[in-house]
Amino acid sequence: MQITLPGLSPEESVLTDILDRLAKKQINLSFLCLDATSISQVCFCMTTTDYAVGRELIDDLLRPAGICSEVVTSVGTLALFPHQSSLNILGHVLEVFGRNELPVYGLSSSISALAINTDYHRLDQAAELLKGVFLLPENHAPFRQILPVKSM
Amino acid sequence: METAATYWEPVIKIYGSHIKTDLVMTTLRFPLERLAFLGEQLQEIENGLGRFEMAVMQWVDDHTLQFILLYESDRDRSYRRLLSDIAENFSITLEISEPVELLYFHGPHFQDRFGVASSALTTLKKHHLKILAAGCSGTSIYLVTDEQKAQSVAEVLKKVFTVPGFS
Repeated sequence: MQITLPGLSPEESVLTDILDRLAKKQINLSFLCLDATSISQVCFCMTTTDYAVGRELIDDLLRPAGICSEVVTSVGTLALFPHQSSLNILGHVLEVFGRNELPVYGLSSSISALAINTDYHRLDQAAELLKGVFLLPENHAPFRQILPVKSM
Repeated sequence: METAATYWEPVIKIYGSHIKTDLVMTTLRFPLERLAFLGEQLQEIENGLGRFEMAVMQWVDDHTLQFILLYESDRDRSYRRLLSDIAENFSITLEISEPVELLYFHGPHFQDRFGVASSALTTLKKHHLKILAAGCSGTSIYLVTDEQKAQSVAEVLKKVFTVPGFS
């Protein structure tokens, strides 16, 4: 799930209150983007199971601030690496998504990967389309993770 | 097989942190249908050799995306000319902030662990330190600050993030 909080500045306590309360519930945010430039907006991702737990506390904290969260219910993150800090690679990715009308709900670069949030049910299509632009090694990691072993 | 590690620690261990200064932050707001065009134009910068320090994109509404791109100021002239041309000709809103600074750090299993982004942003809020943009994905946290602020942010975050030393 991707939850967007439009009009929310990072200076406002409501953001840190939400993050703090989610952490106390042991809810992981696998992705977070914050933009305090011309628009103030925050978006983050969590599992559907966690959203069932966190939804009420998010809405309760947003209500006094007059902010309504916007939720995209079926989002998957595609990670492409290494991006090599190359605008050429970034440009090819955006071109593939744009030409094929694959939604980009969020994108963030990390040290080596580009993480792109798109429709969960179109992840395989996105991976196939990117294979048309990028050469993958024969022994590349599977596109979808095998069910992870969770270490507590 | 992937392993997801979920644990909490009062001071979060990281591999190290880095600061980059004298950067330019370009913010582009554009209609969804311009995404492919923007991608094409990015490929053209410095004849395919253009580099970025950070990229973040958010869905603003059903018709609009907002894209933040950070790059070194010594690359500014060619980047700015091309991005300004794009903005002028194709209904794209362009804003430039400069100079800005970037602090980024990485830690084990950040993508699987609760409370990591919260620790960073809550600590900054407590110390009244402002950030312009942030991107947390994979094992990385990237924070964009105003000029001469990244070091202050790094100092404050040492209270909650640490690089373990060798004993």
